[in-house]
Order: sequence, then structure tokens, then C-alpha cells
Amino acid sequence: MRDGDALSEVCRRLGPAIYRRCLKILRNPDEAADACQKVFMQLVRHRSRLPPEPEQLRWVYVVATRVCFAQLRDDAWETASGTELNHDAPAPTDSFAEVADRQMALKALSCATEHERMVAWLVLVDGHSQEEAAELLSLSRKTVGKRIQLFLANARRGVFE
Amino acid sequence: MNAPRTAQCPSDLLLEEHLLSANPATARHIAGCAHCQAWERSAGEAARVFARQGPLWMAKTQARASPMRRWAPLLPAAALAAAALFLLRFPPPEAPRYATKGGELTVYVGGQGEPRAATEGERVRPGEALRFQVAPGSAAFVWIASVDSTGAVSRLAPAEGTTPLAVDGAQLLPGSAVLDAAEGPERIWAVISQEPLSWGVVEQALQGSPVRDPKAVHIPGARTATVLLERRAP
Repeated sequence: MRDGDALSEVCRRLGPAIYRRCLKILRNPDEAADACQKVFMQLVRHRSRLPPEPEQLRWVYVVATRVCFAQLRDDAWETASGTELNHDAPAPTDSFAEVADRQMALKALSCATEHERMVAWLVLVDGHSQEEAAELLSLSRKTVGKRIQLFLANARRGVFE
Repeated sequence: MNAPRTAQCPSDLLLEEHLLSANPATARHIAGCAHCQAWERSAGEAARVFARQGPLWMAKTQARASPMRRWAPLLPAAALAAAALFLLRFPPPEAPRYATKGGELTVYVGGQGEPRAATEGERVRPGEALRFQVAPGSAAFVWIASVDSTGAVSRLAPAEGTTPLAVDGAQLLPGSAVLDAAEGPERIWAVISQEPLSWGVVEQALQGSPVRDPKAVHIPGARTATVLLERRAP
């Protein structure tokens, strides 16, 4: 199989997972579609680093996570305040409690650095253990633990102040 | 409201892995977990969205990643020069062109003798080159293929990749096909669709189709245009 065909096959096989990942983080179908294409571009650019098939899902999962957080960061710069994430519009099915919870979570996320945000998302939202998050992000477990503690401390302070 | 994640719930990544390769432990957990069942339902919905739109995103990505992109500012001038060169080499056909529906396919034959637009049953010789112009009118996706007298299908354009060419209006397609020494009838097909079809669908629909009976081919979600060529040694 040619290089281009192999890459297309990866995009076809893992595309739904990439789109789901982007949609979960960005919560907006149009933004998820944009992010999905950015992930495909990353795959094209770094095709020589594509791991063997059993590890490809983990690889694209991390790439998609990084792309989405970079997109959130860039979007945040474009907002008037420059400090808030701009994807906090309620979905049509959300209850008042869900909206309130999300606004509180977004407030906490917006106070965190990009690195803290990504670690917090993987552990607190996606349900990864700290060991798994460390492996995915190529960090030590200790660093992940510190970032989570820092994130939670800042979040509590931000929420209660 | 969606059920909250529990401490026993697999991570999103494990759930994704389960979708690619079923894991009995994950399947047992999902069977008894409202949160993971909701995740699975939303995963199915997202997969359906990707099935509809993903091929287009992939096609756009391939176009953006093309090395041609760096020459994009020069493309209009290059296109004009190429068109002028092509028209000089391949003058507009005097004979009427053939297409089954709406004149959407023109096959140009060049390489030996006077370049020409093929008419139905056009005699072509080994070593001659074919180029294809399609005119779907509005934006569409296009595959060009040929079927020989044995029903064997050959893919002509795009020559590689898994997505069809995106064409808007009328376009002379990049690349050409050179005829080998085989003899007999060969039917050229343009398969035009609003949604990108996979090559497998097109190949399966054309495989084994009678070369002299274009009406035998029906591809759901696509329309076709076709020209019959007669391959003869000089």
C-alpha cells in the first residue's frame, strides 16, 4: 500500500474517534470539524512518526487533544476579554444545573495554564488515572499529580473568591 | 440529564479502543452503566456525522497538504498557460462529443497523429494518451474509470488516494492515461456524485458490466457519463 493510501486508511479508520474527541472538548460541531481537519493535517505532516496500528488510536487521541486545547487557547485570545473560553454556550438539552456546573468548570479552566487544563481534562473529565495521563502526555506521574493539585487549588480559590 | 461518570467507568480512550476492538470486560461494564451507554449512543451519532462529512474533510486536508499549495499564488497564471498550451495541442473537437447524460464527459485522445476529442466508438491505438474533461455543472465529486471487454475495471483518475476528485463547473482533469497494446472495446466512465463515493463502491458497480451496454450500470447516489473506445493496433 502506498504512503498516501496508508494515511487515508488511518484517517478513515480513526476519523470517527478523532471527531468524537474534538466534539467532546469543543462541544461545537463546526469547531470540531475544523479541529478534525487540523488533526488530519498533523497526521499528514508527521506521517513518518505514525506508530504501528495498535498504538495509532492513542497517538491520534493525544494529537486531537492537543489540537483542541490549542484551538481553545487561540479562540480565547480572540475573545474580547481574552481570559474566558468561548465555548460556554448552553446546548439545547442542558438543564439549568448542567449549565451552572459547566460555567463553574469553565471558570476554573480559564484560570489554569494550558498544561494544567490538559492534565485536568484527561484526569477529571475523561476518567484517566494519573499514570495513564502521564503516559499519554509523556510526563512523569509526579508532574501530572502536581499539575492536578495546582489546578484544583486554583479552581477552589477562583470559585470561592 | 446524563448519568455521571462513576469510578468504575473506563476512560474515554478505553471506550474508543473497545469500539475498534471489542473488549469483553468493557462490554460487561457498558451493559450495566447508564453513563457509558449514553457515551456509546453519542459515539454512534458522531460516527454517523463523520461518515457523511469525513470524506470531504479528508479531501480538503489532502488538497491543503499538497506540495502544489506552495505554488498557489502562481496557479492562475500557470492554469492559463496550461490551458493555452493544451488548446494549441488539442484543438477544440469538430465532431460532436458523446456522453450518456448531459455532455458531462469529454475524452481527449493525443500522442499520435492529430489530437482529438473522442466520439462514441473512437478508434484508438497503443501509446496514445487520454485526458478527461468533466463538466458536472455544480460542485461534485468525480471518479474516472475504464472497463474492458472482460469486465475488468481500471481506475484512471484520481490515480491514487481514497477520495474522488472535487470538481466545480467544468474542468480538464490533471494527469493522463497511456494506452497499452491490448485490443478490443474499452468503455470510459465518469462517475459523478454530490457526496464523495469510495472507490470500492464505484469499482464494484462497474465490475463485470457489459462494455457495449452502458444502460446496465446504476450507481446509487451518482450519475454517470461514458464514452466507448475501440482499441486497435495500427
